[in-house]
This record gives sequence, structure tokens and C-alpha cells, in this order.
Amino acid sequence: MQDAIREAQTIVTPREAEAIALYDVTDIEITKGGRAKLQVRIAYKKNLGRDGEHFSTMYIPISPFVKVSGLKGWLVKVNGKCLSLKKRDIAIIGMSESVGYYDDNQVMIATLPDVNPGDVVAFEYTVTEKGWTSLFQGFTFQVQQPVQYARFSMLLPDEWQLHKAEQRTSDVVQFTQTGNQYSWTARNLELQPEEPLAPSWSRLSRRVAVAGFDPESEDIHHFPDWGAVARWCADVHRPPAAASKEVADEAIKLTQGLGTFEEKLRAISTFCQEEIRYVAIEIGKGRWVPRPASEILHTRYGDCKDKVTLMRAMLQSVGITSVPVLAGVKNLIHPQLVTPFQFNHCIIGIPLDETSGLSGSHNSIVGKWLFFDPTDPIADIGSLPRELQGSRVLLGAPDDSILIHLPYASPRDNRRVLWADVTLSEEGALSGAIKISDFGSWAAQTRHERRTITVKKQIESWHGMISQSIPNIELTSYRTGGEGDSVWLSLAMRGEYHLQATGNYYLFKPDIFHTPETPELLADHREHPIWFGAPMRIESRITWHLPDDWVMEIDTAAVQISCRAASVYTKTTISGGILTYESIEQQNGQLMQPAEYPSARAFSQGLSSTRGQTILVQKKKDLE
Amino acid sequence: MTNSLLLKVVLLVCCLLPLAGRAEKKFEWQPITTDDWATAEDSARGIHDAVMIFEKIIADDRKWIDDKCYYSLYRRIRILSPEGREWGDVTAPYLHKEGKIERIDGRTVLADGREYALSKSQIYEKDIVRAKGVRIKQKSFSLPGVSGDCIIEYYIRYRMPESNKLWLIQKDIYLIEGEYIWKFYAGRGVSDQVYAAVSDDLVPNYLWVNLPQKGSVEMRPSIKEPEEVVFTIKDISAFEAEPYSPPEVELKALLRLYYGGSEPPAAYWGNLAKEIQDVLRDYTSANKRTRPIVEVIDTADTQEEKIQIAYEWVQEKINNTLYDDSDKKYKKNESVDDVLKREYGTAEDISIVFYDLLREMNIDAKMVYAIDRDENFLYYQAKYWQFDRCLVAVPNNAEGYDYYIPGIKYISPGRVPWFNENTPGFIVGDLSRQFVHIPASKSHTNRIKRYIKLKLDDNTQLEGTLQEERLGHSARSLRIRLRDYSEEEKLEYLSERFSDHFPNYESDSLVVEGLDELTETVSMKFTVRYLPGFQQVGNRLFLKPFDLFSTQEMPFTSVERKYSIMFDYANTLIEMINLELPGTMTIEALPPDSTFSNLIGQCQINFITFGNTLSIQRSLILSHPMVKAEGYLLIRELFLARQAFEEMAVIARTD
Repeated sequence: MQDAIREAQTIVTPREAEAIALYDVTDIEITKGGRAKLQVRIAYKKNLGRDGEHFSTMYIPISPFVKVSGLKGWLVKVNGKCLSLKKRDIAIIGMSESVGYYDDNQVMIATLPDVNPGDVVAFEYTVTEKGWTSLFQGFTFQVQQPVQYARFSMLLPDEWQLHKAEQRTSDVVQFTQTGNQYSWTARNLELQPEEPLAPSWSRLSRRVAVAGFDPESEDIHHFPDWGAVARWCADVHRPPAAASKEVADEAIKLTQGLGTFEEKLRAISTFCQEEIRYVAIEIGKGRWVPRPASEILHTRYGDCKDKVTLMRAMLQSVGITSVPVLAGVKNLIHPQLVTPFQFNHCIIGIPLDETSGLSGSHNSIVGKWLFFDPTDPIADIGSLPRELQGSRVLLGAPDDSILIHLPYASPRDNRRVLWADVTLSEEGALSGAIKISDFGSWAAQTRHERRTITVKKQIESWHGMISQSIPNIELTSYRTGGEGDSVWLSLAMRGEYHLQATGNYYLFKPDIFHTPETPELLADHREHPIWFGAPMRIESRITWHLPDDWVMEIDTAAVQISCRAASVYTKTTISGGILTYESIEQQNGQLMQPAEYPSARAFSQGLSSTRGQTILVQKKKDLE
Repeated sequence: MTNSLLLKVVLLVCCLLPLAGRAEKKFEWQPITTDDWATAEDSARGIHDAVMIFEKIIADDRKWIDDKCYYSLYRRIRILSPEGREWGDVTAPYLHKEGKIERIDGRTVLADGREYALSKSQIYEKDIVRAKGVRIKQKSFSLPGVSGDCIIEYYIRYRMPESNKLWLIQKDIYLIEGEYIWKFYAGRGVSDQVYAAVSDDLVPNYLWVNLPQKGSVEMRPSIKEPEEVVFTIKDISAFEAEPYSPPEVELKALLRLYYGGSEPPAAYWGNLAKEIQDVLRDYTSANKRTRPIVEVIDTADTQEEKIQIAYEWVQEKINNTLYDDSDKKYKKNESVDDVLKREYGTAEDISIVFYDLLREMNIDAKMVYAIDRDENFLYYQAKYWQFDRCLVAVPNNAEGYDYYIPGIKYISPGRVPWFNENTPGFIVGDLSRQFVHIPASKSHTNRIKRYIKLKLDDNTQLEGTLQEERLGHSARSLRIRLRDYSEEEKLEYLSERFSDHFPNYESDSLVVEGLDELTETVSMKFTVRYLPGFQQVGNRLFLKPFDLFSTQEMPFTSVERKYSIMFDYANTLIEMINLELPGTMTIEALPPDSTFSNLIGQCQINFITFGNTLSIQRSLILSHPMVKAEGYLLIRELFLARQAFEEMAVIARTD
């Protein structure tokens, strides 16, 4: 590290970079007793003065399982002066300040003050982790900033083995193994640019994660394969999911008079979803062991695994079996990294058979398993929250221990239909009606919003949207309704519509639901994949009853622009003073690679131009 | 040191042994009534998911002499929907060692009578901050059994070393009834004679602020010999923040409590002025080092010049410790001579030295104490120190004052920071008044002017330059922000701000001038490229000028407004674009020039063509930085008019 710091002044960093990691090394030794000792040394050269402040600060997570010792820090100024980290520069704060979230995690924060561009900050410390959780480790080589040198190594006891997963390291990180010493090294990683419509940095980072295990051990916390993880999960969840008399009585009360499997399932799932509020107690083993179902029922609160546990106990009481399912929200699950710590969420899996008979469409059934997330306030039986779609989950069932790929919903399962009928008089008076219908996941989201947002605020939100196209609009007669998996709302509108005059022309925008936007993809080149968003479909149909004295030139040819992940279709027709504008925008949730960027950019620009579509209008009296 | 703290020190010196503690009265839940259960959602009153039936506070200062003030909080909340359940999650932070949470009780009651008590194991404690000299801990809990239709209540008792000074009555939830019982300190622990000597300055005082209706005050057991004061208030709606408002603490209904004198406010301010004058006299009496300086300055021809020279002198010659971030320890200055000898001082030291220089030149300068309106407002009835900084006032020809604040960087003589404008100042030494109004600066003195010169090529690509000039507070805000930045950091910061205002442009080659001098104008120049194209229909191109200007927000979407509106300062924004079109293009149609103005300000847009160049100028003048809620419609009108300009488009035709 000293050499890296000495050479720091000769290193030129890209202008856009906030800092460069000169030296970032973590060496880990795992002992036979299941302890990990990490030696961490890290040095940054700060580039610029804006948000680069956080490079002057070290954040080290600590907990009852994780201790830090030997923390040292240095600030090497551009003029060569060296200052050391003082005790007063170190603070410990609670990790989470959220209400309803209880944990024993903290963060040690060490800040070197008065760091200017060109200065080098360096830290070194030792972390000691105890317990089986220390067998899982990870190292991030790079998120965004350039990296001069980074190394991650792990030394395991003899005869132990390693599961590993590498993300975006294949062409830039060298791996070597000597006996039971595993090492990954990276040099001269270039700055990763910030680009619009890119996946999250957690998906773009260059990262290695490992889990060590002793194949000969009888300790259930050594996981040679996914079957071992599934067995561990099942064992941990079994005792708390035992149904006490109170739990059984509640389940029976909820399902009284309900005959079918689906009816019982819905009654119990709704109860666990709505009656158990989300409170997480992640203290000690509470991080992975659920609380007993009877306690969850009594307190009426719990986290994801608690809600699953209660739901399982209640289902069991009415003769429905189920298993806990480990899932990852915003985490990419790597099949080759066998450890429960890839997962950060728990849902429920219910085996179906030919008698189960679920009605409606279901994107949450894979093979014989129905998946449901009682933590999500809007998910319905048969649908999956967006965050879980496309991810891998693991059944906590000893006999079914493969990772299952959850499907993406189709765009039609997440659809909104916008309809308007508008009349415009010669004097500019406007009147009309709007109806918005939502289907599938969109409907579930809207139902939730109607419960949590006041009617006044909902109308204000619609008013804000439509007034961008028609200023000074008045919205009245707010009505809502719903049936099956759809919901709708309707509004009446009234106002003055003043066409924007430009010389002898007037500018008319037929689409009142979308406002012109700058295309998001403007750059000439692209580094990262492109993601337009989760699957969804928006259909619009707007009918204008126009004044007789308008003369327009309209291109009535349909416009269709698409790329592999998204498409848009628009068509404008006019007949006898009635103009109809239709559009369909759709995203299928697929990730496009950088090589496909020209197609994605063309789509982005095409979408922007359709949203800002302007029709030139002239008035007959001006032409005479 | 506050007065009450000083008095405590005096009393501690004189006091008898502290009284043995009385046993705490056992806490009991109050019965839940049918009216409590009958509380329901009421959108007219803004009651939705939950409502606070009552909040009862007892602040017991009787053992204040022993650093033991007790504060107990008892709340009952009716939960009306599943979304209201979050009120069952409670956190209670406290300062470790100085304070303590002595007791927590909680319970949930359902309509069918079932009750869930909070157990000790359901209360969690952790450090939320631990650093040198500071340790803040927190106890938190989630009440068990909370449903979408229940009543929750909890009781927390704190012990603190000092008296509580604030009851924040208005919260994020509707409050039906609030009660605050103040068992004030009345001499317990000291002899009657000692207490009698200081009791005039230990009178319990209170001030209601922003109450929508009158609260009640009752002395118990009697007005003649009170031992406690009971404050009661009813029906306080939930607070809803609005954009561009004064500080929230100045909008919410609250009760301020303090120990002070019993004189009326006018007498308090009069006495305070006298005390300050005595302090100033002592401070400025030792000023031998002033004489040689005055001899030089006093030779200037006009009073204005003398003030200017004195102002620049104190700013240049005295090191302002306010801007020193190092750990260097500075001695406290006790006189003008101290400051001049040591050549350093606080912002207040510098202002007093300036004041003394002026007075030595027979200029009738006076000290004025001001508040920072972005933090708090001044309450005339509140008889305690409320001020944030001092200014120097000099009478002007218009029978008012000009104000100076040499202790603050980058402020020209005759100007004050924007947060002191439009506020009352406490003036010392003016026999005709105790308060003055510090006026707001005019919009044209705080100006941003941008000039964008662009050339459109045949491929509808736009490139050119952008120049920006800043004047007044607009310039000062940049100077303050960048004062410790290196040259590289300054350029990077300005480039980032440019991207915020002009997200559709790429920029480079920034040159900036005027940041370091106290000249009035900061100017910047960028080379820019506009990225998005323009909408093309056939051989027509729609150019929307507002896409080329900086992005402007429209924060006033609500048709109603409860609170006054506060901008930083009156200002003018002028933007001009000169767009050179290629020879293959002609302007077919221009929107009309438009102007909108009302009492609040003006917005304007003009279009001119000359040859193949299109020139567009838009401006926004905001004349009043502070507007009462009644004037909200005028503000909204002005911003809506500006928003309407955004739809304007120029039609160009390619041949």
C-alpha cells in the first residue's frame, strides 16, 4: 500500500471520476472453528470536490458477531504532509434509524477531515467474525470509480472447499488458486460511466462472493449443495411454524364456511398480508430464525419470514401444506454460490395438484408450485411482486432443492388503459370525460394507493398530470370502481383550451395524457446494458370533437417504432370534425446489450417524438 | 450562559442540602370512553388513518436545582385504518448520562375489550450515536396487537438536567386534546431569603405560537399561590408542509416555556438595550489602537467614503475566526484593543470594531441584533434572547438606516445576508424605537443574466457558448459555497450546477471570473452542445425555446395555500438565446411576444429575427420574497403564466 500511495501523485485520474482506488485489498483467513479474520487495507486518491466527500470516510459494519480492531488511517496531502486518524474522528452509529426495525447492527465511521483533491486517504483495520455466518464473504472490485489495484484472497482450512460467484469479472479479474489459497486480482479498471436507463449499480458492479464449507462436517451450517441449504431452511422454519391452539382457532374462524382450496388460501393469505404489520426484529439469530407463529399472531407484527411462518401454521391448520421459500429482492442469485446469504427475503410456496383449481391468470405458478409473498401489500394470489419477477428462489423443502426461476409477468398483466372524450368549442371552451382502467399488477398498485392516499391528493395528482397539457383544467365527478383483477376511475373535465399561436398557425397536441419529454438516450456511445423497465403496457385512446372552423394537415399513417425490449404505436385519424388519437406503449422487461444501443436509442428518440406530437392548425377565417 | 443557568449556579452555591426525592406516583391508564371509540375518519378535519385523542405532558421542574427535571408524556391514539398502525412504532432518543428514560408503559385495546400490554422484552435499546463526548441512545418499541381499528396508548417518563422549553403541539396527526402541566421551580432546596433574591428572574413565562384558536391557561391550586400551570388546547389539525414556506417550527402550533422576569415586553427590551449598551461601552472604552486608524480614514471627503474605507479595513485586517475550520484555539476578546492587537475576532467582534471606528468619526452608528429568518422568527412577547447575529446601522437621508455587517464575508457595504432581510432588528441606542425593519433588497440588485449563443447546423445539431453573470445575493451564494474549493473543485462544482439547470446540454471549457473579489459580478462561460433534436414534421421544424433555456420548476400546483410563502430574496432572471440558423432554413412563424405582471412580479418573452438569426429573451422578476397566504393566488398566477409560455414554439422551414 505504501508504494501505491507514493506513486499516487503521478497517477492521472479521469475528469469525471470522484476518486481512484489506488489499493484495495482484503485478505481473509477462515479457521477450522468457523471464524474469519479479515485484513483490510484501502487507499483512495480523491479527485474532485463534490460528492467525493464520502471517499474521506470509512464505513465499517459491526455487530455482536463482527468486531473491528487496529483501525488506523492516514491523510497524505499533496504537499507530502501526513496526518493520522484520531480517536475523535471515529464514531459509531446505529445502522438503521427506521421505526419498526430493530437490529443490533452498527457502523463504525472514521472520517479524515479536510481532504482536498489530490490528497490520498488510506485506512487499515482487522475484522474478526465469529459464527457460521463468517463463512460467507464478498468483495467488490469496482462499482463506478476507477481502480488501480484490488485484490481479494481467501485461505481456507485443509480439505475445505469453496463455492464462488463472479459478477462482471471475466475479462478484468485474474483468478489463481494455490492449494487452499484462492486469490482474485484486478488492475487498472477504468471508470464506469453513469448512463441513463441502466440496471442498478448492484448489477453493474464487479464483484466476487464466496462461501467456504467443510464437506466432511456434520454441522448443518456447512452447505455443499443447495439440498443442504434447503434442509437447513426447513429445519429452522419448522418449530416456529407449529400451529398453537390460538393459531389454529384463528385459521378455522377465518375459513369457516369456505369450501374450496382457493377460498381458504385467499382468506388466510389476506389475513397475513393485511393484519400483520411489518416490523422486523433482526437481533442475533432473529436475522434468520422466525418468531413462533403464536407470538406473531399475538403481537400482530412480523417481518417477511414471520409472516410466512404464521401463514404456514394457519394453512396447516386447515389442511394445506406449504414450505418457506428463500428469495432475493434486488439481489441477483448466482446458482454456483451455495449459501443462504444470497437471499434477503422469504415468501411461501404451496404445492398444487389437480384438485387445487385456481381461477384467473397466474404468473406465480411454476411447475406444481404456487408462490405468494405475504409481505407485499398489493400482491394477489396468482401474481408476483415486480421485484421478484425474473429472480431465482429456493424452496425450503428437503426434497425439492433446486433453484426455481420465477417468470416475468407479461405486459398485458400490468396494463393501463387511458380513455378520453373531449369537446372543444370555437371559443375555446373545453369539456369532456376521462376514464382510466388498470389491470393486473397495475390494478393492485392502484387499489393500494386508493387506500393510502386521500381522494383529494389523488385528484390533485391527476390534475397535475393533465394540466401540463391543458392548463387551468377543472376536474370533477371523481368516481372509482373495480371488478376482478381490474379497477377504474372516471373524471369529468372542464376548462378553457387556448391554442398556442405561432404566426398564422396554432399548435394542437392531441395527447393529453403524455407530455413531451427529452429522449433519455442521447449519447453517441454506450457502456452498460439498457433496461427500459418492468413489463407494462399503456393504451391510450383520445377522441376530440373539434370546432368546424379548424383546418389541419394530419399524417394519418400509423407510426410504429420498436426495439427488442419496447415498442410504441400511434395513429391519428380524422373524420367529420372528430379526431381520434390512439397509442400503445409496451415494455417487455428484457435487458438489451450495449451492442444493441443504436436500436435502443432510435426507439428512445422515436418515443419522445410521438409524445410531443404537434399538429398545425389554421382557422378558416384566417385563410379567407 | 443563559440567565436561568446562571441563576442555578448562584443558587447551588447558596443552597441547602437537596430534599430527599419524593416517591413517584404510580402511573395508571385513564379509562377509555365511548367518545374515544366513537372517533372516526373525517376528511373535513383531515382525520384519516389515525387521530391522537390526547397528549398529556407533565413537566416537573421542582428539583431543577439538583439537575433533575422530569418530563412525562402520555399519548392515546385511535387507529382508524391499517395505514394508521405505524403510530404503534415509537422511538425515544435521549442523551446518555445527562438524561434517562425512567419508565415506558404501553398497551393496545381492541373494541371487543381485549388488551395487549407492552412487555419489557418488547422494548429495545441501542446506541444511535457514539463519538468522543457524545453518546445518544434510543429506546424503541412496537406496540403489540395493533389492528386497523383499535386504541393504542403509551407513557414515557424522562429525566433531564434542564427544564423543557418547548411543547410542539402540532404534529403529523390530528390532535383532539392537548394538556401540558408545568410544575415550575419555586425555590425548593434553597432558603427563602436566597430564593427571594433571585426569584424575580425565575418567573415562569410562556408564549403560545400559531394557535388556530385560543388555548386555556389555569394556575393551580390558585392564582394567588400557584404551584403549577396547566395549558390546554383542543382540535389541532395535522401539519402539512407546503413548498417555499418559512421554517416549519415557525408555522406549527407550539408553546414556548422559559424562566425570566415578570416585566412587560417593552420593559424587557428596554432593560436589555441598556444592558447591551453597558457591555458595548465597556468593550469600546479600551480602544487606544483605534485612533491611528481613524486618523487615516477620517480624511476621506464624504461620510459614505469613510464608511466604505472603515468597512474594507476591518474585513481585510482582522482575521475572521468564523471562517477558520482549523482546530486553532483563539482567546476571547474583551475589548476593541484586544481585537486590534490580536488581529482576529469573531463576526461580532468585527462588527463592534467597525461600529467603534464609525463612532470615533462622529458617525452615529448603532448596533442592531437580527434573526435569521430561514431558521426562526422573532417574537416580541418572548422575553429571552432570540437573535442570531449583529449588524451596524447608520442613519440615512430618508430617516431610516443603512445596515452593515462586516463580520460576514462577501457582503458589500450597505447590504446584509438575504436571511436577515425583511426581518425586525433589535436596535440599541435609538431612543425613539426598540425595533427597526431591515428591508429587503430589490430584485434588480440580485440578478442572474444568461446569454446563450447557438448555431444550428443542417443536421439540427446545436453548438455554441453560454455566459452567465451573477449579481448580489446570487453571486454571494456562489462565493460562499466555493470559498474553500480549489480551482479544479470550483470548475467541477459549477459544471455540475450547469448540468442541473441545463440537463439537455453537454458543456466543457468553463472559465469563471469574479469569485474571489468582492466585486459585484461573478461571470462564467461554457462551451455547450444541445443534445436532443427538434420535432420535425415534413419539412417543418418545431423549435421550442423553453427546451433551450434552463429548466424551471412549478411548485405551486395546489389551488389552496395555508401558510405564507417565503423565497430567499427578490431576484431577476434574464435569459437570452441567439440562434443562428443554417442557410437552408427560414423562420416561418413566431409566437407573439408575451408579458404577464402582477403585484408579485413579472414574466416576459420576446422573439426577434434579424437575417437568419433568431433572438429570444425571457425574464422572470420576483419582486417580493415574502408573501402572506392571502397573496398565494398572485404567486400561482405568475408561475402559471410562466408555465404557459413553455408551450410556445417557433416554426422553421427547410427549403
